[in-house]
Amino acid sequence: MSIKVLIWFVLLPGLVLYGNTALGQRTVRYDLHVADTTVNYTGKARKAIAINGQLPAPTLYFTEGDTAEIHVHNHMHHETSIHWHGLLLPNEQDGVPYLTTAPIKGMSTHVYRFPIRQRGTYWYHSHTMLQEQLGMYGAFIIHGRGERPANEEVMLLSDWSDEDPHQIERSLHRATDWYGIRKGATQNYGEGLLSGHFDTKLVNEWKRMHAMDVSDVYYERFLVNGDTEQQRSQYRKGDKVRVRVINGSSSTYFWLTYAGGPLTVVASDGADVTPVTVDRLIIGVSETYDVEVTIPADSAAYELVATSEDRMGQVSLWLGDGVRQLRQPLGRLDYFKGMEMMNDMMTVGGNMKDMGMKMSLQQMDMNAVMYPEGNKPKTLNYAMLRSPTPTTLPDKPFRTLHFELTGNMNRYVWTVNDSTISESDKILIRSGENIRIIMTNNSMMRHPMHLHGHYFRVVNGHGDHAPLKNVLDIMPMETDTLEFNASEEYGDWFFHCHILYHMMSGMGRIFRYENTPPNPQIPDPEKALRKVYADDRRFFLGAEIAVESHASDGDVVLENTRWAWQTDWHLGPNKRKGYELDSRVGRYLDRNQFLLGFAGWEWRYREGGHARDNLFGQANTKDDRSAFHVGLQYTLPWFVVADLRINHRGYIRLQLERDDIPLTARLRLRGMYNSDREYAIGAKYILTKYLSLSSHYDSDMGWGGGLTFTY
Amino acid sequence: MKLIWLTAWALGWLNPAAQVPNAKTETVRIAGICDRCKQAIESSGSEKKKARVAWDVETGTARITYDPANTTLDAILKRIAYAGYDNARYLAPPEAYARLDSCCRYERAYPANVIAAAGQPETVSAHADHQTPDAGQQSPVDRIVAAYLKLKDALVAGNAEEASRQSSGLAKQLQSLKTAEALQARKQAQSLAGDGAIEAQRAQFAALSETIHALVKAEPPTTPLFYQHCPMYNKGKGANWLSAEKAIRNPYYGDQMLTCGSTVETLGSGK
Repeated sequence: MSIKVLIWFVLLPGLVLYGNTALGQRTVRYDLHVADTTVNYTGKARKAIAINGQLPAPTLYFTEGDTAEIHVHNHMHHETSIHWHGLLLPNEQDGVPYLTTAPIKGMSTHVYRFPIRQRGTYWYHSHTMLQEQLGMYGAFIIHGRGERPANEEVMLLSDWSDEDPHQIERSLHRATDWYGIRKGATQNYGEGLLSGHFDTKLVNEWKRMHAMDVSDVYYERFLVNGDTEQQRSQYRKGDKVRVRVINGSSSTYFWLTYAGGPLTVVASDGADVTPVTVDRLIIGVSETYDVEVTIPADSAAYELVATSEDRMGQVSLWLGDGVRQLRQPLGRLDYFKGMEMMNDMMTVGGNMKDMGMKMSLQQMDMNAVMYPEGNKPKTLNYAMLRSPTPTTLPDKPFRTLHFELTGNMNRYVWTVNDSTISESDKILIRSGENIRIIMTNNSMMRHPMHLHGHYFRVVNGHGDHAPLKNVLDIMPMETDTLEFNASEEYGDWFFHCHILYHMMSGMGRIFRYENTPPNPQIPDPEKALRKVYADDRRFFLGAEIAVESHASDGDVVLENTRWAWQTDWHLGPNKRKGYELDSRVGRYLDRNQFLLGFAGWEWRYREGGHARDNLFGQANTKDDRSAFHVGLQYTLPWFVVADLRINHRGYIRLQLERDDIPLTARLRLRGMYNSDREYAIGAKYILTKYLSLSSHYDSDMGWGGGLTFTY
Repeated sequence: MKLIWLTAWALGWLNPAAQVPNAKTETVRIAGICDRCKQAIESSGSEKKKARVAWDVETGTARITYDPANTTLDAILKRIAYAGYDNARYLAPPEAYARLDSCCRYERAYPANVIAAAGQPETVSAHADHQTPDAGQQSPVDRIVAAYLKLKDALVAGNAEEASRQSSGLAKQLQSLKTAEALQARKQAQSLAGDGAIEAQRAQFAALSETIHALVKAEPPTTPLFYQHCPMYNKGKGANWLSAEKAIRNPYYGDQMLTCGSTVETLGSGK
C-alpha cells in the first residue's frame, strides 16, 4: 500500500477584499485546496477527501451583493467538481461536470466567479461520482446586507462509512442485505415467528418485497461538523440561537430534537418562512433548515440532537455550559409494523396503492407506525411552511409536467417515469415561462428531489405565500406540486434525487433552456453529454462462488439498468459427478423488472448418468448437452425465479429456484427444482459480508459443505 | 494444569477489579435514594470488561472503575442518565426520570428551570376540547354526540379503560332517543363498554360509528360534525368515525397513525 497522502495545511483561506467598496460591491475570494487524505473515525484509517486539510470543507461566508471568487485547486490525480447547492448563478458556474461546467482535472485549478444574489443557508459539494460520500461538502452561509450575525451556529450533518463508496454502491445493486444484518433489520422468519409476525413476513415476500428499511446503507458514524458531538459554551439563559442545519449526508435523513424546549423553524433551503414552532423535524438529504432555540437556564448545556432516520446513531450539538441536559433518544424502529403497512399498500403486481388517501407534503408519515413514541410530538411538515412574502410567479403561461418516481429496490434501479437520465431526452423550457411539476412517488423509498439554480414554490394551501424551496422530500405514495418560473436566460439545469446512490443510478432529468448559446466550458457537448449519461449506464459485477467438498457452484453477474450477463457453473470433482456451465445475456423487459428475456449457451457433461425423460416427455439430455438457448426468467411471488428456456434442438427446460430465504439474521436457505428432474437444497450461514459457511445437496452431486464467497 | 487455569479464572471472577483491565477508578456523585436505584444505576453503568459501577446509597456517590482504553467516564455517566439518574455530568431526560418507580423518584437537585420540562409534547392539531354549550340548551342529539366524541377521544388516546367508561356514558345518553338507530347504537355502546381490550373496542366502534352517523343524518346536531374515513383499518376494508374537528385524529390506530384519514362528509349546522 503506497497511497500517496497529501495533507495541505493551508494557513488561511485567502480572504481578499478588492476595491470597489465605493460602489458597495466587493469581491470575496476563497482558495479551496482539494486533496486526498486519510481519516480515522472508528480505529481504522480510511481514504477520504479533504478541502484545506479538513473534513467537512471550511464554511464559506458571504454577504448578499458580494461577488464570489472561489479558486478550487485540485491536488488529486483524479478529477473533481464543486456544485453550489441552492445558489442562483449563471449556468456555467453551477458545477455539474460535463453538463454545465468543465471538470476540474487532476492537478489543476478552476476559478468560479458569480454574484451573490440571495441570503441564507446553503452548502457546496462535489458533483463527481461518489466523492461527496468521502467528505467533500461544506457550508455556504450568506448574510443579508447590514445583518449583524449574533448567536448563530452551523450544524452540518453527514454520514460516514468505513467502506469504499463504490463498494457500497455495488452492494446496493446486488441487493445484499449485509447492511440489514449490521443494523439488526433483516426481518427474518425466525424473528417473525417469535414476535408473532411470521405471516407478515410471508405476505411481504409474497408481494416480492425484501426486508424493509427507511434507509439502505449502514453507516459507522454520523457527524456534526465532522465530529460526533460538539459544544458551544458561550450561551447563557435566555439566549436565542439560530442554528443553520444542513444535511450534507449522502443518503441519511435526520430527525432534529432539542432538550431545552421546542424548535422554531425560521427558514428552509435558505428562504425565510413564517416562524413555526414544533417538537421535531426531519431534514431530508441536502435540505437546510434554520431553527431558533432558546437556552432555558444558566449552568447547564442543552442537547440539540440529530438522529439518523433509521435510528442507528445520533450526533449532538451542546448549547450552553455546565451539567448536560440530555434529550430522550428516539427508540428503535418496529420494522414488522412497517411491513404490515407495506403489505396493505403494495399490490402483488408491484404497485403502490394509496387507498384513496390523497397524501402529500409529509403530512402523513406512514413510517410513524414504526415509531415507538408514536405520532404525539408535533412534527414539522411542508403544509406548515409559509413564506412571509408573496411568492406568486409572473403572469405567464404554465406548462405542466407529470413525474412519476419509480424504482426497483431489488436491483437498485431508480427512475423518473420509468426511465433514467441517460434514457430520456432533456426537457426543453423557454426562458420566462412557468413550469409546474406534478410529482407522484410510486416507489417504496422517500426521495429528496433537488432543482439546480432555481427556487420552486411548493403548492401547499398557503396560496400566494407558498414557501420557496430547492429540495422537496416526497414520501412513498405522495403527490406534490411544484411551480417555478424559468427565470434564467440559458443553460442546462439538473433536477434529481439527492440520495447519492439514487442519483448515480439515473433518477433525474435535465431542464434545458431553448436557444442556449454554446458553453465555452463544454467544448464538445456531445462527448460531454455521453460522460454525463455514463453515470447511470455503468455495469456492476457480482458473484457468489461456493467451494464445497463435493462441488463448486458459482454464479457471476454483470448488470446495469436494463441488461444482465449471467454465468453459472456446477463443477463436480470428476466426470461421474459431472460438469455444468451456463452463460446468458438478457434484458429486463417490464417496469418492475420481474421479467428478463435472454439468450445464451449451455454445456454440461456427466458420465454414467441414467436420467429419465424430462417432465415434458422429452429424452433427457441433462448428462450431455451443448446447446444455444433462448428463454425468459420471471420472478414469481415469494421471489421464486422461474426460468423457462428452449434450445436449438427444441429441448425445453423449466426451473424454479428460490435463494436466500432468511431463516435467521444470518442463516439462509435455498432450493431449486427443474423439469430435468434435478433438484438442490442448501443452507448458508453468513460470517462476513464476503464469506459464508455453506452446505448443499444436489441431485447429481450429493451432499457437501464448505465456504461460499459473495462479492 | 487445567486446575490452575480454572482457579485463576474463578479468582478473576471473584475479584471485581480484575474484570476491568487497565482499571482507573473515579468517584462521582449520582442521584438516587434506594436499593432499587442502586441496582438500576449499577446495571446501566456497568459494561462487561469495560466498566464497573458501585453506588453507595449513604453517600450518593459511585466508585466507577473503567478501562480508559475502551470507554470513557462520560459514556458511563450518559448511560446512567438515560436510565433516569442525574449525575455530575448529565441530567436525565424528563421521560427517563418519569419512568422511574415511585420509590426511586429522588428529588432533583437542580432548579426546575434548568431541567428540561417533562411537559406533554404539543400535538399537531389543537387538542380536542369540544366547546360544549350549556347542557340545558342541548338537544338529546347534541348530548349523544358529545358523549360519542369523548369515547372517540379515549380511543384516539388508546385508553381502553376510559373508552369503556365513556361508552357506558354514551349508552345512557342514547336512552333519551327512541329511534331504531338509537336503540341499535345503545346495544353497540353497551357491548363496547363490556370489552376491555382496545382492539376489540375499536372493532365495535367501527360499527357503532356507522349507526351514530345514520342517527345524526336523521336528526342533525347543532354543532358541525365531520364524517371521517380511515382507509387502512381492518386490512384495507376501512372504517369511519365522526369528529368535531376537521383535523384528522384517528381513533382506530391512535398514536401509530394519528393523522391517517380524510374527511368524507360534513354534517350538522355549519354546513
